[in-house]
Amino acid sequence: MDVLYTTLTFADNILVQALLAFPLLLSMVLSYRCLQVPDVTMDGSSILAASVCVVLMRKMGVDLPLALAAAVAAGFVAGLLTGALVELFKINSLLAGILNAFVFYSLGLLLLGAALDFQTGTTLFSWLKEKDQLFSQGLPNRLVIHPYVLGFLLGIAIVLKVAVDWFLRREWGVVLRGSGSNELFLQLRGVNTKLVRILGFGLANALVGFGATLISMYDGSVQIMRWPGTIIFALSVAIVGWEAARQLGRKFRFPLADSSAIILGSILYYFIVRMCYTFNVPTALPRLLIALYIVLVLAERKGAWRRTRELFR
Amino acid sequence: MNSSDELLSFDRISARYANNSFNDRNALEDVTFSLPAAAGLVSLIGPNGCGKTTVLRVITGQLQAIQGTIRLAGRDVTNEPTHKRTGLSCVFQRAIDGMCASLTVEENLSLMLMGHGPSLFRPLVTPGRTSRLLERAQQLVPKADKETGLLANLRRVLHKVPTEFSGGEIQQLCLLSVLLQEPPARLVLADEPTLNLDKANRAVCLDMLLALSKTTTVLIATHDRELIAQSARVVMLDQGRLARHEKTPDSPLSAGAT
Repeated sequence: MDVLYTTLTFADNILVQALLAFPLLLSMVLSYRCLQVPDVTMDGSSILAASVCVVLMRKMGVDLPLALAAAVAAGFVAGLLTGALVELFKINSLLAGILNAFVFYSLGLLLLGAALDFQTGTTLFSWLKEKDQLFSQGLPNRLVIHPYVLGFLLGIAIVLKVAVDWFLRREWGVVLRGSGSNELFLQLRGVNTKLVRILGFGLANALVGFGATLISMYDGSVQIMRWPGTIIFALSVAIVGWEAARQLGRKFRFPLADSSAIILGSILYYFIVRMCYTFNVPTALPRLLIALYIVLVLAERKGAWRRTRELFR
Repeated sequence: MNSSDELLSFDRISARYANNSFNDRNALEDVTFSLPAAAGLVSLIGPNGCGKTTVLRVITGQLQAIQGTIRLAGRDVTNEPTHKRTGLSCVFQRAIDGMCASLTVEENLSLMLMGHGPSLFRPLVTPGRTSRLLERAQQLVPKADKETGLLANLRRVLHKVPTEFSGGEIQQLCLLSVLLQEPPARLVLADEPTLNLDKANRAVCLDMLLALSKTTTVLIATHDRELIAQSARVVMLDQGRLARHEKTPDSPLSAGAT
């Protein structure tokens, strides 16, 4: 029985983490896949959105739904600004993202009054966690699972995935997906691609805003130091997912499979992290291992071995 | 020529590239010409670097003219962005430039039926659109397709992405998409569309270009002698200036073109 309990606890832990990160990671479908830009803005827009939400709730007494909507809107506006820098100022998309990551990091910090760790107070998660605790009391000691939190996160993940997939099949969504590869073709079809892309940046960062707020509420606080480097985390999870989905075959193709691949990548990522934790691997190692894993997978597919051999001929 | 059926007019157009350090002359200098609607095949000829591609880029709006006026169907579009210049379609030397590489064939073709401006709530690919595409494509398959057979088997490749095809096949799909366009393109711009193609692919593409030219004006930058010989008109450029613009009365297509 012990093995079963450990496995269940292990799986529960991974799933909670993976589903919690899913909304944030889903933004990669819009930015990296559709716009074909690794949008560094998310390092800053995540902090900005989470700060907007907690400051509205704690300092101004705004209700949670409204504060959450404001956080999503803050992310959306942050994305619009990056979009404007890329599409109107023609600033390199990486540079635009980095600039705006700085801007929104500073704004978030200002909002929080330079607090490194800002408590969110009571949120929906407080209630869910309480329910889970009561539920776990009736279970054997070694079995710790969180059905309420898990169910809630799963619901959110399904709604978001369905919404994003639905959107990417509308005329507008298909145009957004095409805009990364051939703008002229779409402009000749009468599509204002610059506007579409600017709004695309906005939508991606609105998702980031929602995801970051969700994570902060789960944590119970907005931790400033958690967010720089989000893009690296998101990109590596997304790539792990897409490469894994690629192994599964051609049926898993863009756009429907991409959002599913994200959850696959997220689960794989937290599986590796959790395994390292379980086997007392030093905490610095998981990221190193994941980077190695990505490089090895890509090396195989991109023919790195052959090219390396040719280098010495 | 009656100005009401004038499709494209260049009025003293000059254009230059911002980063041109090669020489001091403008890429286009004081170019004036006009083409009527349904003019058939119009060859845009001249040596490399004479401004053929620049003419096409000024028409699409990728390059802004520094002087002069350009009209499409009587409307002054000199300062209009590309997406406001309606009724244009392009085919390129690098075939993939004529399609979205990140979308499937079905989505690329469906975009041609989208009309003007995307909707936020309408799905792009619908069973109705797809069956209409396939039905019309069957009527359009040129005789020369027998050898390559791509277009006759369009249904089987609908879910592939353009990068899974060869350059010649992509060019066929591009031309097919222009033929399927609704509402139909009034002016088709083609930049050396047959240059990189083998004999079989070229035959299919030529058939489709000629089919297009029956109802529209196809302005085609080319060195292809066969295409030039079949043209209803020839516009010749030299060092950015208009050198010659004439109808070719002995062309098989010019009869219906006027």
